[in-house]
Amino acid sequence: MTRILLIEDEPEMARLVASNLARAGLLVDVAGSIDLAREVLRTARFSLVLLDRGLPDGEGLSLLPDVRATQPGAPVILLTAQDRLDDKVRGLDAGADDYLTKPFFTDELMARIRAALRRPGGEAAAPVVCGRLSFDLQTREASIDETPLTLGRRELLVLEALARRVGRVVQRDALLDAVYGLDDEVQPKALDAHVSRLRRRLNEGGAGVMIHPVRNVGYMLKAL
Amino acid sequence: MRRLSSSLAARLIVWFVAVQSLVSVLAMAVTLFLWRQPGDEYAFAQMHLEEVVMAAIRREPDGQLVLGETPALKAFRAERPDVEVAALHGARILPGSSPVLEQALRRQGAPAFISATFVFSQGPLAGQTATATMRGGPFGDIVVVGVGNRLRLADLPALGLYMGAYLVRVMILVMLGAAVVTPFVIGRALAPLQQAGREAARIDIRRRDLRLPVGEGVPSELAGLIGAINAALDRLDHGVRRQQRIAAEAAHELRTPLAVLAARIDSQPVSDDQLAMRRDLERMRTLVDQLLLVARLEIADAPRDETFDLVALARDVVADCTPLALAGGRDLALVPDVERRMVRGSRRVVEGALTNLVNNAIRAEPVGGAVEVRVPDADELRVVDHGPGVPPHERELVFDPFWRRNDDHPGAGLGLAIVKQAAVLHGGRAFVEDTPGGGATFRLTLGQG
Repeated sequence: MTRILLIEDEPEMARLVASNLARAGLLVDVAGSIDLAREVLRTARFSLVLLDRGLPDGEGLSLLPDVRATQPGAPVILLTAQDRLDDKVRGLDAGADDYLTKPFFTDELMARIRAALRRPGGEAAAPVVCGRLSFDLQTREASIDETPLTLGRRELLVLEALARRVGRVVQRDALLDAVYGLDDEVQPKALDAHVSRLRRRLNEGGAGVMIHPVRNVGYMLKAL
Repeated sequence: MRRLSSSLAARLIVWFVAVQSLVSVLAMAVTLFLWRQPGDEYAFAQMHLEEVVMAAIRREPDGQLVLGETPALKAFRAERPDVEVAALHGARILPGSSPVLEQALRRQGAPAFISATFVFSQGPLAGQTATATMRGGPFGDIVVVGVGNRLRLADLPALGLYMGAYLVRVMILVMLGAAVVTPFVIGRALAPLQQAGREAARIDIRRRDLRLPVGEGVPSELAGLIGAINAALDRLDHGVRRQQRIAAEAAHELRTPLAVLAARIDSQPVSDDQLAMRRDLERMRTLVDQLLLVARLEIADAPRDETFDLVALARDVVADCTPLALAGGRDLALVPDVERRMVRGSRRVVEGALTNLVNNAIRAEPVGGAVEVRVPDADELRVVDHGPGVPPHERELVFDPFWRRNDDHPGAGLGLAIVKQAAVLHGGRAFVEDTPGGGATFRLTLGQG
């Protein structure tokens, strides 16, 4: 079971978020102050840390080095009532992996948690599921209703990039980076060919998903 | 046209002349009664005598000038029996002059004077004071001599006339000087005030940092006023800043209880009520975000000197807004006329404005339709929908905060007000047009170009 640490000083907020996440299948520990969080971080292993920035005994960001030292590989998502761009930039610069502004709904937080865990270096997580399609980010295996789907290398890379951000638009530049990496010669025109081939394969297999084109922007993977 | 009485120059001239006249009269009175020199009482009385004598001189048929016995001279003599009168033309004592005085003048020697007050040292009038004055007239220069002619009440009208004439001459000069000099001095002195007026006209809520100029050329009398106005502006600025910070902090503080509320709603079992509460909370969240953005725009708490690509910005916004559009059955597309369009300003502010425009358009777009975000080859963004459009009389109103057509239609809240503010902040404007074929096209321009 995925165990995460929630560092949040408002008791009611901490209680509700913890129980909501627990219902989503996570094991949540709560620490209400920097001191307490340091203590907990030293004694237990967590897959992910949710960090409130305004804590009674200081700035939440000051805990980031402790998290890095005690929880190697565990992503940190900042939770904060600050939504200024410079605050966000500062938080990410300080080494946080993501940033969520209050107020938020549990499904939004869960989406961020899943995305953070999916990242390279993050803990092995459940595969991305969309429609009848399932994509395992660890093994890069796609399957439709448990039936493995064989795809060409480029198509698989496109699907991986789309699956990592399922339900959100992936811009063309990001797709080109994913498909061609740094070494290959980038062929922007070919990208659309890869996408349409992937789309055809998904349709043939009855994946119940669509790759929605956003004109001049990119593509988005979503359930039908 | 300014009323004359409101002109500082006119008032100064009027007061200057009035006070100057009064002071001159007073000065004469003081000179006459307090500071008078020996002989003054004769000199002033002489003026009366001059009038009478000059009027009495006439030319006889044989060509001789004589001092005739006019009624005025007769009355004068009857009134002042002890006063002796003579008139001289050149060195000649005119017939009709007082015999005693004629005798005294001859004894004294040829009168070499033109104008003088003197005392006879010998002769029949020894010890008496004489006053001689020369006046030009139709018969040439006449010297009028009076002896023992002290000032008395009867001299006052003549004296008054003389004084009056003198005063009018002096005052005309004073007035001319004042009329020329006063507007000039005032114009120069008040030039800084006009400059200050031009500066003041530029001050508004977004440019509260401007102050009226206090420096060289500002008269010390105005420096106090300008300084006081600047101090008042400082206090207002401080107050506005405080208010705006309170607005920003209030919006910010709302986030924490809203976060608890969101978590509480999520802790409830899924139901219609729970979903409705979620939607309510979404709206509150949007409003808080918008309030915060408005407050920040007003504090101008955003860097305005970034250089960024409008096309890339539009691409980010379209990517971010697409899931919401698709969830509502609408599509979203980016239609750039250029590869890249670099502009200067605040990326965050423009991004917020465009997001508001796109969300607004998604609501207006019929299900199945597609909202287009266009980037023309200009410092401009356009958001095209194919909904009902905005009737001409509402095209200004829609940009007002919290404006709504009626109670049935939720308005854009602060969304379009933010768009307008963003445009103003970048020296551009926000407006709406018809989409050819139906719908609304919102345009956000950045800068005059």
